Amino acid sequence: MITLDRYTAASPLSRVDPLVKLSFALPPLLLCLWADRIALSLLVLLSMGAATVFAGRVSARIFIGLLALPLAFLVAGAAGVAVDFSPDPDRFAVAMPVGGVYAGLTASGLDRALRLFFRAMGSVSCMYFIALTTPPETLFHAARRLRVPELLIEMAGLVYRFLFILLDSAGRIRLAQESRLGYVDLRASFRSLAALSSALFLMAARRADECYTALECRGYAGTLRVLHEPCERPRSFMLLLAGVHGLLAAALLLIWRYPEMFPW
Amino acid sequence: MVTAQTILEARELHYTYPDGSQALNGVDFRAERGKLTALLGSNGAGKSSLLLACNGIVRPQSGTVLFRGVPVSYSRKGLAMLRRQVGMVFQNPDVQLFSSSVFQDISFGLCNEGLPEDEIRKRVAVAMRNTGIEALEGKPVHRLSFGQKKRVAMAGVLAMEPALLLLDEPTAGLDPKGAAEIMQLVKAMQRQSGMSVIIATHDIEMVPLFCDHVCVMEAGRVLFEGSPEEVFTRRDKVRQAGLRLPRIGHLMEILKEKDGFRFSEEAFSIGSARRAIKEWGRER
Repeated sequence: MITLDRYTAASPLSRVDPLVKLSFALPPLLLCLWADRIALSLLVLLSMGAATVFAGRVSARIFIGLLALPLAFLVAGAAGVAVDFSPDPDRFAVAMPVGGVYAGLTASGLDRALRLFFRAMGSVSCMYFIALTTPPETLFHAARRLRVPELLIEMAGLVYRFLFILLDSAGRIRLAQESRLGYVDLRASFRSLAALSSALFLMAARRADECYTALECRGYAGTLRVLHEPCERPRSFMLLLAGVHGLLAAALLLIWRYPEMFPW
Repeated sequence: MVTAQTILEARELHYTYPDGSQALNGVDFRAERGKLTALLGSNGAGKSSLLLACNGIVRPQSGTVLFRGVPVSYSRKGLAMLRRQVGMVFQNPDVQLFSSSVFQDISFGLCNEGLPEDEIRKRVAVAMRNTGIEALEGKPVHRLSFGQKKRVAMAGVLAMEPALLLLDEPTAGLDPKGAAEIMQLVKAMQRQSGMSVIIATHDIEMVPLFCDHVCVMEAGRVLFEGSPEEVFTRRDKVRQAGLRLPRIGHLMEILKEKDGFRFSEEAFSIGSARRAIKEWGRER
């Protein structure tokens, strides 16, 4: 099981104020969605990639590997947008007969598909910047400052922590089952999986009890009050923010003033 | 009998879990102030239940728990007061660590005490230094090893500076080095702050090295008690409780009974055995 938390904690940006980081990554994301221009989306993708890799010290291989994750959906989706059906083969740039009609690519369909593709990649890169450089606790802390209800934040925190324990337990049970041929054929697999789920459920219930007891031992009285690590607003990051936003604004202005120079 | 030296006393505790299993069956027990007391017993002897009774999680059906000579009040306020002074470290740290951030988890108990922020930060830093986990500060909890989690769990309780520390199987699941380090840490903290400690354990080898007083438990009650030397001298009773002697003690017993050695003192640790054997050699 590969999880992103491996990279977030090690990133030098992990201590940067998450609200500042959000204000860094959100405007480009909105720009991608709103402007829907390939040039702008590409610029966002590149600048977010550079910020993640150079400022966030996440290896480029990981960043590109993660970008490949939504690729499968995206290629299928974009293909759906690009391909048109029509009885008239002359409408298409490239076409092939399918049954009684023709399926093919039109220039406008291709344009739409490409725009969709880069728009999605640009937006995802903004999300990855946050996901790869921000430990969840600091995000929860930001949510608290934004006055998200305490209950939701506590739930999110507990879910995050116990997800790993649940995964770990499930992995152990599965290993034990496998070592006794629990998944040797379909029948056995079904039976083992059922046993695993019910065992996990019971375990979770017991674990919840124990955890409550342990919290009570430390004076739990209804709210999970903790102190947060102080977060920073380093000058270097503010400069990065200003630089990237400036670059994007300049690009936007350029495209707006000279649309004929940037057909895409 | 409550003396000024007694920090916690249990009188005639009876407790049966909701599922019908009887955990405590008339426990009488005392822990001395500033001492390290071991509850020694096999699995299911009632050690953990007694520990839980010491900070009010288990409420006995009959009998009294006295902390500093005062019966524990099970009101919300009474329990909060008790737990502020009686800290407990659980056997499985995953039960205790609820936050994915080491810093936040350690700060939890202090926040509940309502301390000012500066004081909390200071105490978290001290607890992390004392338990040797400064390097773990930025790491997510689920990436830590079992031994590291154990230290974080301990830091979260030590930060609250309890007068009495309860440890449930502190050495279980740790490698030999980790187990020794945890116990040395407890001993050092105890010397430094005069804290009292109660340990529930079946780690027999650890007892003569670190503990001042031992209560041997069996079937929900204290079978007998004394200093480690006194306890392990009563071999039959130790074995009746489903326990055994420390290996060194067993060796000394065999040397004495089968090989005609004569020792002037009982020895259950390497240090004391060495002394006894050297003395025997000199006398020959």
